[in-house]
Amino acid sequence: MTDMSPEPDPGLDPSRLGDGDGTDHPLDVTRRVRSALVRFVGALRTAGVAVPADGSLVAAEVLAVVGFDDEDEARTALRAALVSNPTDAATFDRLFDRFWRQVTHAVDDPAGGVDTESLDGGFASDAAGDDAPTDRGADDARDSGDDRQSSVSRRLGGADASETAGGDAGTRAQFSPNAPSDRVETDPLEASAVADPTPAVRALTDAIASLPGRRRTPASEGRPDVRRAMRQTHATGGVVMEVPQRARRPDAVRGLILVDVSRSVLDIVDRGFLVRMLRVLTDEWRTARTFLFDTDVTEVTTALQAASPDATLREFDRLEAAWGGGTRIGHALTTIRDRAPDAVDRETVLLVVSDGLETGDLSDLEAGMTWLDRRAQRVFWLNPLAASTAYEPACRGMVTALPHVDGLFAFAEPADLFDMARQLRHRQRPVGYEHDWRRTDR
Amino acid sequence: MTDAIHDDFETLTSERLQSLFDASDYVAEDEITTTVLLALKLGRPLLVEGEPGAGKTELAKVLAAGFDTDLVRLQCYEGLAAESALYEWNYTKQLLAVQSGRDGDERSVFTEEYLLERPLLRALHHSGERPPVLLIDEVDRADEEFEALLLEVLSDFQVSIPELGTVDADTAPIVIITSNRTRGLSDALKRRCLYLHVEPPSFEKEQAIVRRKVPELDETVVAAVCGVTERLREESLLKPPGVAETLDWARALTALDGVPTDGDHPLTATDIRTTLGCLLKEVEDVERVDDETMSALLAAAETSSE
Repeated sequence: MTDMSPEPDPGLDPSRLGDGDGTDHPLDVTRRVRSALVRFVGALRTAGVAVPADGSLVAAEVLAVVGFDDEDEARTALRAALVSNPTDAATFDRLFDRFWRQVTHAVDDPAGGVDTESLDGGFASDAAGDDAPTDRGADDARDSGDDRQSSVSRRLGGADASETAGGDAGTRAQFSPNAPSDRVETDPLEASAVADPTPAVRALTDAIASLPGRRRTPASEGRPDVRRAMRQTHATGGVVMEVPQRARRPDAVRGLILVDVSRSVLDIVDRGFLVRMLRVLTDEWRTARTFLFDTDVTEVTTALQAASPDATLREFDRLEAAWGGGTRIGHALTTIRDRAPDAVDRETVLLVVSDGLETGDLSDLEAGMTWLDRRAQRVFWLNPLAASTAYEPACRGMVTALPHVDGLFAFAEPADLFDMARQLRHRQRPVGYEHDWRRTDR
Repeated sequence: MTDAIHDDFETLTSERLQSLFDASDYVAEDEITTTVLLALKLGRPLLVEGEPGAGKTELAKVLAAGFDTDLVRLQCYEGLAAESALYEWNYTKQLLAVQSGRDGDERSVFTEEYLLERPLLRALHHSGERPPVLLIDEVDRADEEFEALLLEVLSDFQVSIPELGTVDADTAPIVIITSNRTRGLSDALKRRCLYLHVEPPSFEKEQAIVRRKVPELDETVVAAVCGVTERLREESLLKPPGVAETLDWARALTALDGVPTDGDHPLTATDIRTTLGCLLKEVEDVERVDDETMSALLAAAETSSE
């Protein structure tokens, strides 16, 4: 089955869309609604809903029958046309809300509103799954595509939405595969509302430590503990019954941290929290190499060792690190494999911070994950979208990566790192986002 | 290819369809009404999925009754083949015709005269005033090969008979396909259909259904019946009771004269115990209803009827 989205049938009745005042431009409205519909269908596919190849056509037909007077009726009609699996109903409902806002906007305001040239119309972030953390829900219910863009920009350091790399805010795709990246702003980081990540990082370090530290503790396999053996002979009249052993307690981590700084991630994760966490990780772990990637890859290990978070940002700027573009995880992994093959060894713990919304070649992702899985000691995937209790790793990137991952965890705030540490300390139990505190506390 | 939609359906409104459902005592939410309306107006088959007993088959029956047309039903089962679903040649008749050399002519024995129409072809060949309702029931029971057989019928409403040619429907029949989701259906089949998932009814909806279908049952007993069924579904049963079982039970209680209707104790443990076979169809499930569960059921009955 081809994945191309066919042009919907222009059978939408323009008169249905144009009724109202005399200034309406029915054909223009039809065109905009049609664009919104095609984007909606595309977003459903991106979110993993199995929409048939002619889904747009059937959707246009049913909309032409039910019209735009009643939202519930339109929702039911489109669901009947586009969804054939009850488990997709929740995804459909979430994306439909955005589609409906665009349609009503187009109908109510024929002169403005939906930008037909936009590649995704703001759907892509929603297509990620239900995915947004719960505290964004209220905003999401309100914001239009433009609002969304400005909110992204605010997170990026307060840059004006119009001052984008493309120079045209109105036609910028939000999280699309080929969206341009922004240079990292060097404005001082605002005092983050998120708590200091240091305790959480330390807890995580304790839980995943694999390198031997200076202290020794009793162990089943190690070197003979002669002192303890001698002490025990006092009770047995000088006879050595057994020789206890001791080994160095692992308390350090050698890590490789790959951070997806595509727009879809930055819209969810607080930038200040992210930078601070990376700095603490660099500081706490024995060695930690950190790469940022969106459509390109930059190593920022030295920048994270700068004196302050603001200095880190200035270093990012000097390194020409960019963020806010699309996500090409597979490309990033294979690039790191080629550029820095020694970044991973059998004692390295790998942290990937990404939403898994791969827009590049899946075979690259498969190859990269296989390489990492084979070489690294453990691979953990921190997914900001998993902070939603409704999240399931159904997008194609996560489906490809999941077999190579030792644990998929939520990542939105320090509490997630604490929870990851808590889970990893209990080695016998299954770990992952399914067992995280948001779901188990309910 | 047939794409003619019957005039009645082109002007059909959701209000008219809802009143049709009401007249047949079929409790349908707006979602069901809208989706059925779309299927009728667009002339597309409607794939209805849901738990057993959720009213999928009933929907087709109600449509046939409501539009005063025939219901052509094809019950699917494993091994269902074209001869049972589409058409079959009447070999006996053909043989006799050839042997008798009737009229001494050389007429072909592959004509409609020797054709035995099976449900799918019968639905296309229908000659009534309104197109029939073609119910393809429990399609998930049939083999996947059978789905391929359906594709031509569902997309073009035609059947190709190699010896005869192509048989088209004058007007597209109303096609209702039901599935209990025991297996996934092919994308090709789904693509040709509008989709409706019938959720198990809520307590209120089930009450409304029982009230309509078994009007002779006292209101408090109806509430108690639905309360008990709802509570029973919370148990881990091999086969939880569906709406059909609730209706069976309600009718069984009506048939028993001993059911008190004073409102204080709409149902007793004896009532439930003696009629449990209407609700539970597995011996393990029946055995699960011990004294403790029975107390919970009675409590649910009392709470619901208050």
